[in-house]
Amino acid sequence: MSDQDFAVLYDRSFSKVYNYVSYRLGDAAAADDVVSRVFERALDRLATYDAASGPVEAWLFGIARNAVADHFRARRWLSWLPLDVFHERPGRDVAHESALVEDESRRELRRALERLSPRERELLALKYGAEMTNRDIAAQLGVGESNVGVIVHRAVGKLREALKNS
Amino acid sequence: MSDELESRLAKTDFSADSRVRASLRARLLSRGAAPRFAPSRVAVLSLAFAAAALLVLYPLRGRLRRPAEVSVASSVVLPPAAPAPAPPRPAPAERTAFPRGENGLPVLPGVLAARRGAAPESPLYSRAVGRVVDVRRVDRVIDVRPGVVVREKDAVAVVWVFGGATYRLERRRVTLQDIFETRRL
Repeated sequence: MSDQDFAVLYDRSFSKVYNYVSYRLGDAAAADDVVSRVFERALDRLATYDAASGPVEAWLFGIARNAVADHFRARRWLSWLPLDVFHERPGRDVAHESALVEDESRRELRRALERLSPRERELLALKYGAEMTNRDIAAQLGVGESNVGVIVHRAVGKLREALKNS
Repeated sequence: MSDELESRLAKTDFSADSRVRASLRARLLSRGAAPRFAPSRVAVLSLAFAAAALLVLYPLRGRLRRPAEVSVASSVVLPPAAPAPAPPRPAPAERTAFPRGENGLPVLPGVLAARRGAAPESPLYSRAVGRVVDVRRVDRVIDVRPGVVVREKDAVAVVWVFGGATYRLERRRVTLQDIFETRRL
């Protein structure tokens, strides 16, 4: 795969990868970091991709899942550090501050997603973030296709309740 | 309601919140793909860690090794052996005739019963040297401790330690005839 192919892959997959990561993390800043890591790793390992092993998007989402897992692992370690380490300082750039303002609808959805379990969030992330079919999700996670459908249905119901209560 | 939510989920595009989309693309494309066999950062770190561990542990290998059952506790500096002359083989008549005991075996007179310090104690015929030589008892006590080099005058001995016992084995120039008995039909 050439650099040009990578550019096409980036343009075609960025939104899906970002949405997938956002469903899992719920934090826009963290999602930016993790998505950057995903595409950096993909570029580093571009030569190792084998088309015979499956579609390139499945390969990319494999990297994304690992990157999200690494993020959670790192956050678990960071939770041992004292909070003083993370003193937040106000930014100097007003333009950046305005860029941080999220759309209210997405913010509401992010808050509601936090009520779901990690498993439910992962399935919704693959279903609506990565736009995978139940069959693809089942293959990716190694579970039954009908099982995926059941969990997604329950998760959507739970999310609806969370949105109603908020 | 559920369909509404599902369509909302399908339409929601969180990537609109991204602040790195364009800059990340530019950065990655300017960097280019890594060469096929370029070692990853993890591989480089693993190699560095292994090298560091080797450097730390290598000097300890001798201390960590279990002591052997039989070990040379100390070494003895041997005097340079003078080349033994090869005199003509003496006639059988010149050999010392040792008295025989009641069981018919030869008795070495004076060697075992000699007083300490008395020298020479007994003449013995040496086939290696080819003449009669004086035999002295070497019964001086040498302080032998494992790991200590023993430098003893005339001490032609190698010290071995078997468990708790210490043995000093004489070292001398020998011939095959001293070790193996040659019989003639």
